[in-house]
Amino acid sequence: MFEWKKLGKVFDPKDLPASSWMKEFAQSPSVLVFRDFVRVYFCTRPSPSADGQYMSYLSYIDLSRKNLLEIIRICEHPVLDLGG
Amino acid sequence: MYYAGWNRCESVPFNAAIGLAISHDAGLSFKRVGLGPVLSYSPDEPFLLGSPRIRKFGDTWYLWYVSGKKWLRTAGKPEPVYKIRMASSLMAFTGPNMARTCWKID
Repeated sequence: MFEWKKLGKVFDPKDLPASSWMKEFAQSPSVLVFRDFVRVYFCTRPSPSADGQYMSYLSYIDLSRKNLLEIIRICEHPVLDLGG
Repeated sequence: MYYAGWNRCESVPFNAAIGLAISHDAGLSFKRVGLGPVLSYSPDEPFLLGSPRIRKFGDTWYLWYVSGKKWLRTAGKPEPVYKIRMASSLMAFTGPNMARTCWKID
């Protein structure tokens, strides 16, 4: 049986500069492991429309394999465009 | 990359189906393989397909996903209830007509 110890929050788009395209939410993480880093894909959202409706986009952060709490890269634009 | 694409609805908040997109730049960007989903509604899975998880064991691809069982009317927003599904195929799940065996995990 696995026992898990929580290490705390790694990333929140609310902590990014106001100019970032990501504003709220980092949901449903999914990981690809590279040689020197771990890429964590997740769903995020810009600010909602005037009537409170959100659109969600796929994004990622890269974490150092030497320290999984260290963010070494943040996605600069959505990795997949919106569907039809 | 398998993903859930969703759209807004009227009588329920949203619906979703499973799509496929491919990266040619080691995961920096992805392009859809087509305009439509690779896994969509069917008689036994009529709405809310999502949460795809793909893995290959030996020669066989396995896709775990969820499909909608019902929407619950609550005091606030309607809440979806899902059933867990698994499909297996000797080919990756690239289109709706590929042969696949569906396993129901409820």
